[in-house]
Amino acid sequence: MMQIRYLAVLTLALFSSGVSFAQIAFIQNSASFPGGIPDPEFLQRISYFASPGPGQLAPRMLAVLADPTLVSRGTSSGAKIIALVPDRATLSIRPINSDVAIPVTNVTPFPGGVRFIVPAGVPTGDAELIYSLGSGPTQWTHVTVLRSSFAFFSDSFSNRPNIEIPGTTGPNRRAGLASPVVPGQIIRLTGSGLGYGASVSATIGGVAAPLIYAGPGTGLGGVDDILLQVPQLDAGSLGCYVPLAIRVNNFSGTTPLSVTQDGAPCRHPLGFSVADLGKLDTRRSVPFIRIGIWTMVQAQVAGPAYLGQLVSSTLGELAVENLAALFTTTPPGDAVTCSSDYSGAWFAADIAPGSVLQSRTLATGGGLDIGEVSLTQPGRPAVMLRRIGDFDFQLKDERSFTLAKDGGTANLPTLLLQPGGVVWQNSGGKDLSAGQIRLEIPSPLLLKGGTPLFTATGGGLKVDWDGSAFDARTRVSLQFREIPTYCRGQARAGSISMPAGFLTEIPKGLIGVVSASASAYRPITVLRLANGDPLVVLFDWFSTDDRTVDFR
Amino acid sequence: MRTSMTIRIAAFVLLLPLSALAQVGNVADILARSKNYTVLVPGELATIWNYGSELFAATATVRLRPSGQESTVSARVVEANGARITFLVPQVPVGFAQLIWETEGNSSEWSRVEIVPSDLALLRTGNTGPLRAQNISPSGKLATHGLASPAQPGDSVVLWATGLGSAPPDSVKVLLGGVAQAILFAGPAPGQPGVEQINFRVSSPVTEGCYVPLTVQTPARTSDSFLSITANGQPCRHPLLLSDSSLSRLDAGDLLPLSLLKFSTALDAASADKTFREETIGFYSYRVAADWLAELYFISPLAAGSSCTAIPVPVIGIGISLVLVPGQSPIFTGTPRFLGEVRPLNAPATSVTDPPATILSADAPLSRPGVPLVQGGSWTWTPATSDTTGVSSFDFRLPPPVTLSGGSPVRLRRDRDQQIVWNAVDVPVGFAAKLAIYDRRGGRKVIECNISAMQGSVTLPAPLMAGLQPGQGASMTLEVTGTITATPHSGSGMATAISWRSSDTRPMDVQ
Repeated sequence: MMQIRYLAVLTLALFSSGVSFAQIAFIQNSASFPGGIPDPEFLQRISYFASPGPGQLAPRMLAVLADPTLVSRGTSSGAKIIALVPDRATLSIRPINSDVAIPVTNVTPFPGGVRFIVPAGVPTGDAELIYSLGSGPTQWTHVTVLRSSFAFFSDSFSNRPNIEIPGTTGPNRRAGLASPVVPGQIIRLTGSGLGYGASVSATIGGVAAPLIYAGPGTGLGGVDDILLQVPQLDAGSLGCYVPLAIRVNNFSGTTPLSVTQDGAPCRHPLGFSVADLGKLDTRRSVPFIRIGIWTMVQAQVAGPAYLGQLVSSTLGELAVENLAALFTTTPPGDAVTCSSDYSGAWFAADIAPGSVLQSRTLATGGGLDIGEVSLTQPGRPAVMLRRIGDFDFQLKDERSFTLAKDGGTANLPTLLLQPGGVVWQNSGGKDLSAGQIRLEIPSPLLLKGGTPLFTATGGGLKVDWDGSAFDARTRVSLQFREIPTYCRGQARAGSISMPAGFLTEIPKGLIGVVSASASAYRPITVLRLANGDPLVVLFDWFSTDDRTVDFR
Repeated sequence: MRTSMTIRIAAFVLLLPLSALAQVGNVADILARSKNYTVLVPGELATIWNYGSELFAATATVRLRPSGQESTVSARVVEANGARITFLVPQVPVGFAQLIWETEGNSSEWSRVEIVPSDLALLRTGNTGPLRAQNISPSGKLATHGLASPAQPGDSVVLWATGLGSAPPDSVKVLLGGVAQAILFAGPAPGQPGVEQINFRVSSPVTEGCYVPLTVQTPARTSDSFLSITANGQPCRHPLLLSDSSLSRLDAGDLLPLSLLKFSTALDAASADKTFREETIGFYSYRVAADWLAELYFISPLAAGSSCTAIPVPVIGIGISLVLVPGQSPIFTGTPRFLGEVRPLNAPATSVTDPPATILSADAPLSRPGVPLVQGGSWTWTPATSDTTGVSSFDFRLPPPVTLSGGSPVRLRRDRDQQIVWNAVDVPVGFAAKLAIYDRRGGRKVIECNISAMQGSVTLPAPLMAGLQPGQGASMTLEVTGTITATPHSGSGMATAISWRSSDTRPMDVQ
């Protein structure tokens, strides 16, 4: 029997190699896959929280063989689509250097993939997953079986792990801002892939949370439960966004948990009402406006440098987990932290501030009408922001200047908006009445020294600037573009160093670019829209200075 | 911070200068669009080519700042126009350097380059050719080299290049059809700063053809290209039977219509008893230039014996992972357009459609994989109507699909040389075989061998497999490709080439 599939015409090049259908399939923990579990309203995907790599399986894991050619039957949005979801699928796992394939018995095809439970007795190590969908031929792909390869399921409202309070007499209750947990209570997190020998530990508000249970759940096969007890916390540690830090094997992450002494709704730092908190618990997002002031210095060649400033106001929808992250990101200490990868706690804690920059269509439909937007400084003409589309008001400026050898600011051209006080105001529209907000703009980040910077191969890299103008909430990051290494510290420190250990791969004589950036990103206040919804106001100040670096 | 930075950088794109959009390199390679690295040689002619929509100004300055120095060395700009800045690389030390250029009214831009002592590149169009060359007959008559005006034995051929640098001129060697040629001159071209000239005499006898392999060797680099050679200097006999006027048009840079009938047959052997084929036959129409056509028919000299290399892991640079997004697969939902049919001798015809259909066979044992759709032997193409494709019927012959010897999975010992064998019966001359080993299916390529498919085997040296781990699952793919010429049944048909690809993919167990 032969099967026929039609490929779209992607073969414009004479020698484009053929696409093998067998290679489009990949394997992952079902907790990492949209639709990989049977009840998407209850449990959805996980994005960043302790997510293992694709192809990493564990015994008893609920896993997904993803195949985008498996689409739904019938019609979708009026367009005819091919019905390819097979009635059955056959899977087996053959450990490397074994002639015996272990059959997989619990297999369920669904649109977009095949869900299966990894057999409990499959040995660890490299293996081939051999599969056949419907009456199709047998194909294969590579997997690695680990003792444990865990990922959390998230709730249907965010990308955070789903956290429930098990009911003693009734159904489980979802923990949230309006329904906090209390010290002593048991909370339940759900995932898949604990396998054998998983190590699980957690803290809540920095205090160890006793692990009550970690193992197979009582419900769906392949789903694991982790039960934690909320520890006793100081009154100062209670609140809407108490960090729950959990480590499973080598992965760790932090998610906010609302904890109060009596279970009453928490007091939100932005002053949300109880009704607002209820909305945040049941919505994916909340309207926001971000006032952005970004300044960029590029001094990558000797001679003229380049300065750009972009001021903007952007309307959008802020994912509730990103709003939470604005309050749970660890305050910067004086220590400099460096990392050479994005995974683990570092990534989980830092992803949120940037994620809010996505603009989505508001629930009100289209963009909000808030009138015209301008920024004003005493003694200077107002900067009127031009509306760009439904979401953005923008004005940019760019100039060249000659960077002084000593790195002084004497040659910096006049900025659109000078450091100091600035008033943002809107003229008012049908969605938001006229109003104004006062902001303080820090000085742009300007590194000392000219360009290029020089450093010895095998040595570290240190950059300096005038830190006296920055407050404790302004952070600086240092990134060397040629390698994935980042260091972060306090802007007011006036200097930051990248240790030599992170630069060992750079060959002598290489010319690279180091980018220093300072940012102060924070929620300021909440305005009230005409429909009663809150409008979160975010201030996003961002300043970069890029220099050429020679590794001698 | 990654997400944040990404979005912010995207927002700043409008503020950035155009340096990221420019390509810098040896003028010969840049014009041939074949290289995307920034290696320069002191004294060579180099080009900064602007990808951006904004045009360079008519005046430009170019400087080089060697790594570790604060001062810059100015370069002589030969030409600046809307698309590129061409300049002579000044004498600067070997090593990394910052190439800085300024055009009138624009900000300074820069690119990191590496200065090397020598990196000769032949002036040409396309990845390998045609070369910019002249023939000089024994009587002294000068002609531009091309398909319609080939060189003949006894002619002198003048090649143009740049980047010889500090390599001694007498180190230049030329092979034509695998035969060493007598070098008449190699060195700076008179009156053309930055340009080198290589003159050699075509020996006799020599292989005739439109795409006779030419290899120019210097201590630092070997360049493969081709020349057109005939015994009498008349236009070469093109594999596509193109007329003399068509060859002249190609030489002049015109585009010619070309149809390509593409056959692909891929064996996928999950295990010794579960094997299937994925096969596709497609028909495509193009308008092609001489360099594109050359890519179809130029046969790069392939090394005999083992020619395997380990693919190193990139050390510097942030890799970009290709993420497969469910739901993004191109699935055709309309009605395919019937273009014609192909029929093997003594077998049913197969329809060829736009888009092409991919046929998956049923499972079969590896020892008896069944008759492939794209089988070896004689075939006939019959178009739906001549109006549909502009191509008449024609006959052609395909080689049988390639199959690796042995079972599945392929079990390899990493501590000893391993010979990989495949069927090489009826594989035409010049068909290339590529054996690739990936660290996992769809993963990173760790070993690659390029050999002549006719060879039928290749030896994987044990040292190359040292990077594989015992107990590791890997994957092996043998791919053989080549181009076959069709013979139209009538003279009115459009030129048609047949591209053939056959592969065999199996899981590997490393022991």
